[in-house]
Amino acid sequence: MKDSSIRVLLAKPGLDSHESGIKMIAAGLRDAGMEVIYLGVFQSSESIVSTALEEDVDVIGLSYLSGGHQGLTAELMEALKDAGLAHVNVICGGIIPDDDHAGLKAIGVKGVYGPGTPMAEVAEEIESFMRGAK
Amino acid sequence: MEDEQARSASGVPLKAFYQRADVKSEQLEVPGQADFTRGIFAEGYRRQAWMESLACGYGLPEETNERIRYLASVGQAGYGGRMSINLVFDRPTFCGLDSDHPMASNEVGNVGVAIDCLDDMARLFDGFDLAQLNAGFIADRSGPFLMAMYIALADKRGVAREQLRGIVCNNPLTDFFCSKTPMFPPGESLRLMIDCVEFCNAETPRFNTIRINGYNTRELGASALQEVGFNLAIAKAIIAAAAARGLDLNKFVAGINFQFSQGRDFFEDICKIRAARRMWSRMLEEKFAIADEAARRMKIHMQTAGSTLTAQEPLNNIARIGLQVLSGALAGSQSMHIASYDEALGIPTEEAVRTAIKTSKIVMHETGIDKVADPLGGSYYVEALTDELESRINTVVAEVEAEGGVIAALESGYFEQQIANTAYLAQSEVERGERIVVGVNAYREDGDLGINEIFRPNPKAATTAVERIKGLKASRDAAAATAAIDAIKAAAAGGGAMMPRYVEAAKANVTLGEMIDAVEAVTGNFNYAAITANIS
Repeated sequence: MKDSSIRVLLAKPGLDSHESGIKMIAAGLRDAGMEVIYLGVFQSSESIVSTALEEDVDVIGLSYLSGGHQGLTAELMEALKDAGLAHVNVICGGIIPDDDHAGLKAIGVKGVYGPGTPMAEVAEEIESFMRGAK
Repeated sequence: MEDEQARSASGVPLKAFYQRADVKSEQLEVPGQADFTRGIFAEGYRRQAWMESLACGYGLPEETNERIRYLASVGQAGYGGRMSINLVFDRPTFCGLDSDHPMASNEVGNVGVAIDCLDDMARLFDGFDLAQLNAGFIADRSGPFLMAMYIALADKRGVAREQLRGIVCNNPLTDFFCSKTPMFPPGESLRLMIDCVEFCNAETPRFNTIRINGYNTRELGASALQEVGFNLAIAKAIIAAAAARGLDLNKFVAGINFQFSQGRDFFEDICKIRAARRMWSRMLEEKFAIADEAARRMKIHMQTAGSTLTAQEPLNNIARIGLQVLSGALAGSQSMHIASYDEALGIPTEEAVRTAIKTSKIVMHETGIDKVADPLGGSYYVEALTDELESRINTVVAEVEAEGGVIAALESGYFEQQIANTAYLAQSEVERGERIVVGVNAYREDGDLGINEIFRPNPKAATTAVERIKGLKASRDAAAATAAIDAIKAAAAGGGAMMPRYVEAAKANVTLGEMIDAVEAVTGNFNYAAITANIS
């Protein structure tokens, strides 16, 4: 049985290891009452998809600070579709140029959050699109 | 009125003002005298200006070569008229993966230069006289391998090894928790790093061979106390391992360089450096019986704190960076990475790095800092804070010892946990508005005040790099390459010297990834990230 709290999977795809930000988000979303699973650095699409399946998550949050966001997110979105997880909400954060936000949203990313975004704002956005989905 | 809430960034309670009675230590020493609280040279910057060594690298080696020339053309200077080159590598190279590795495909050249083999090293240094450089290799696990490629390049060009100057970072111990790079196991990492030092002390005696990276520790969210304390404990463990191998410690410690951050708290960041120099000198004398005062000078590379820069109103970062260069200079740093105002957005543009270099020049020539050493010496506040930080840093070092020492602390995730606790508290202070970040949690502007131009590395870098590896492997002497790889494995298994094998392998066109795989086949690897993923 799934309880009522929002389940969030956080991960760092690829080789980027800047994880201060995503750990902050993990703690912030837990404080906001969400169930957070943080997979850590060096994740592949396969490891993210298989955890998303096992843990039945509502949201996947990806963090990028080393410029791999376009290719790596596109790979993951395809892998999610193939696994029947197209309904899972994907968000991205980190250092992602403004010009790239539209491209990420075009492949289905729900939100892109830059440096300095308050933790509460990320939590509120997740809650709002989860309400919209229900 | 004394504000009871006033504390330094790392939590030291602060008085409203300081006076003579607050200063505990007797200020008998002068700059240039042990224990070097006041700096390592009596002449300060009259002796020589700080070296500007901006971490630089992106795309293919020839593209980074162009950026290095640009930096020199706008004034970036090494020591004694040498050219300064401080290389940052892309994530695959830093982790020890070739550009054709499946995990590398989206990340070749994104945030550093891609180096796979000796040919790439030749492209990177094309047109530069290796005898006239200060060359920095910002790489830890892959540091010794890249250094071996550099030595191989010098051999090939007929440049004497002893003429090479610069630094190879080569400190996987700090890197375990700072960048979670895939690693050899901790004990093996320590052996391989010391192997590199031993070889370089003999072959390239003017090259610094270890950089103890307090900066990355701080950027992860550590306090100034943890930044200095954890890294002094790590340095101590490294020296103890070198002593156990019977190395000449006077030479060994002279090749160690420290990197610290400037920017979280102007005065505290100055005082922590003064405390660190004093503690280093005393530790070397008391624990390791290093009598030669000159060997006890702590050499410091300062980096302006990237994490203080904001994506909001990026031009405000120029003011932040200017103050950070000033605090680094007031602290008596030997070299500096000066960040660019667009660092929170990506790789800097030419305009942004030019402004960074000019910021350094303005502090150097327009403040008077180049005329008198340690201008803050004797300030009641600065001396009292230096003493207080020293005492608190000593406690941090003792806590690491109580955990069973550095290797045990790495294996248990201790450093990670301690830093995560500190980072979360600091972030909460910003979110609650207790610590003001201009333009972020106070004085915010509506609307887009960003900058228009963002630098994008060459998107075709990966394709070119992969083609080059394919071409290299097809054209090299396959038997020689295999023999060089086998020699690395044999040395790793037999406990023999590794660096000469890497140099030979580089000359046989063995790639970085192949060399690291050869070592890992013997030592195994260590997934530090898995230990710490759930620490937050």
